[in-house]
Amino acid sequence: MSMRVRIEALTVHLSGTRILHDLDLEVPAGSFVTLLGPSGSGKTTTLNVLAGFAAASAGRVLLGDRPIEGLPAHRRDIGFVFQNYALFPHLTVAQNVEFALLARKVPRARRGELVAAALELVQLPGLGARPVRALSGGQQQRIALARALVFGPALLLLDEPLAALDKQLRETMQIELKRIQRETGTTTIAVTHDQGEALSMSDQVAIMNGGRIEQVDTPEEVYRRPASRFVAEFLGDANLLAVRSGRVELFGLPVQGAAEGTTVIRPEDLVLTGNGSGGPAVTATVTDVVYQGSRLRLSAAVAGRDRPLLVSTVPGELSGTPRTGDRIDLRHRGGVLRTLRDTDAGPVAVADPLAGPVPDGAVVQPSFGAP
Amino acid sequence: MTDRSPAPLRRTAIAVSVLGALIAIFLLAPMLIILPVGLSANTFLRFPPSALSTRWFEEIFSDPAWRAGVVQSVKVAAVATVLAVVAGTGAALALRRLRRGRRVVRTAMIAPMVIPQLVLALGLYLGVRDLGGTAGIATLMLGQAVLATPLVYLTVTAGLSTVDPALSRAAHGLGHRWPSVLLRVELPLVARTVAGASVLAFGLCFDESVLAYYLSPPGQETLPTRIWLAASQQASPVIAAVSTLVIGLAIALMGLSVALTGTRRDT
Repeated sequence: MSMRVRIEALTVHLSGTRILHDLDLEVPAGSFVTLLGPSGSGKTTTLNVLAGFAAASAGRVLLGDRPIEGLPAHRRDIGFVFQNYALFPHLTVAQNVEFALLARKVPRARRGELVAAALELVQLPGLGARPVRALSGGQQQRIALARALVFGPALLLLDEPLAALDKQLRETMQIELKRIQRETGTTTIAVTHDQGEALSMSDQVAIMNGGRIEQVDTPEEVYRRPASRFVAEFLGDANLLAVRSGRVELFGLPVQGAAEGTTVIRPEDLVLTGNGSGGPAVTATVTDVVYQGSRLRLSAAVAGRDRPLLVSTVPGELSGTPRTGDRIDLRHRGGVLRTLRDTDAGPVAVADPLAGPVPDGAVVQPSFGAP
Repeated sequence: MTDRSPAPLRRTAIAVSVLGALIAIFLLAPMLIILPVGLSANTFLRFPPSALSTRWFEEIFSDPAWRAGVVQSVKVAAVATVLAVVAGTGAALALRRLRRGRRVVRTAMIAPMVIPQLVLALGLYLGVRDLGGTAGIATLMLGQAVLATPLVYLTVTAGLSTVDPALSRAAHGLGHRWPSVLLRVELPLVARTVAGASVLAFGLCFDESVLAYYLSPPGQETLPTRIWLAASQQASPVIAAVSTLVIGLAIALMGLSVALTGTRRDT
């Protein structure tokens, strides 16, 4: 049942503004892809076009081999979970789950079996007779999933599926969502602005910015090897360093890709002791220490650089906790570095990296801590 | 809570309450006069009545002319209400989907509320005559439906604003065509509002007097027309008694409408 999705040169205009530019995306059958990006990046519009709730101005959307961009929503065979779940308040749980089966003229007895199986799948068996308004947020989420999956859709779309839940429930549901997706093998495209969610649930993450896709890859690849400055800065914390003559400023490590440009060094790639393998040590002065429980985050000023370097380390690995004003030696842990592609459409305007130290604003610290 | 609010605020609250009470008394005063007059034992309209009795109320129910008026009013109002509810609810549901020109259509929908009823009555009368017919009870039903449609439209629109638009999209996405979405999701969610709006529309049509006066053929008068005719011929307290009944019905319908739309919001 599960199918491949292919988006080709999708362009969308909404009331005169271009929301999506020539978007291409291929989602293999049975995989879980997350569209991740800041608000206004076009991720929700992409989802609405797939579902048939918004019209494409140009381009094609293929579900399997069937073009669906011209079909009305009710003929697309796609399950959709809304951000606020959109459960029908006048119906019971079972009637909500059964809703798609009524449109498909499934006989009554078979409907009952399918509803029971769907409720079993989301681990809420026996809740069928309840009115939906009597459910908790987490239960509503599960019922919304059951309703979207009961008819065996070719594709499942999730719009900010966990945004309405509190933090603990969100973490449980991340695991649950992934389990349900694996069990049913349904091709799934989710939209989120929460990078932790994207990285932990998806087979592939598509980072969107300004109506384009910046990079599509596995969670580890997009984090470890961001393709552009935007991706590097959007995911986690990033130290952006200039590259000259194929070597990184400060650490002198060789860099793949363009000989001149910018590269990213994650805070956890910097070590305080002499254990690092690559390049010379850099002496820095600690300007800020943030204890985060499992991690210790330092800001360290280096001569000749406007912005301090961010360092993330495990407290237990150190002989003593550094204090503000301490001199420390930093080394890079080693690994492959590469030059980033600059993005023209990014919200973070970046000056020419060759012109000197990395400019202000180059180090962004989103809410998501280092993994 | 109130004793904690600053003194100027408390003074404003008192002033507003007093003003509100005065306005309410002014609006309700005619009823305070009509009720005792209707209960009068006198033969002529007189306030205050010298003695009380229920003879005029009894007369309404025993006089076939008054009974015919009540029956006629109920008939006309019922048909007009059905027409107005279908038109107003349909418009409210349709306009929600309209992307452009919503304000223009909305204004057109509300227009009957501001057009003088006399103009509407005359227009209907002449229009029907030009089409080769004679204005009669059917014309009156149509005219009252036009008057009640904006009321239904506005009430249902207000009710729909509390219904999440994602519900309709969810129903479409789950494979239902629009008639099915309408029947299974949209109408059930506004059913109480539509019921409340129907009650209000019925009340409006039942009391309606201008169109009824100009369009009802002789011998088929509705209750308001009959009151008007009776008042121009005689000054009997029976008029006050009938008015009391009409006002009582209006209050009862208002209460019913509030009870239907006010409690338990489906969102």
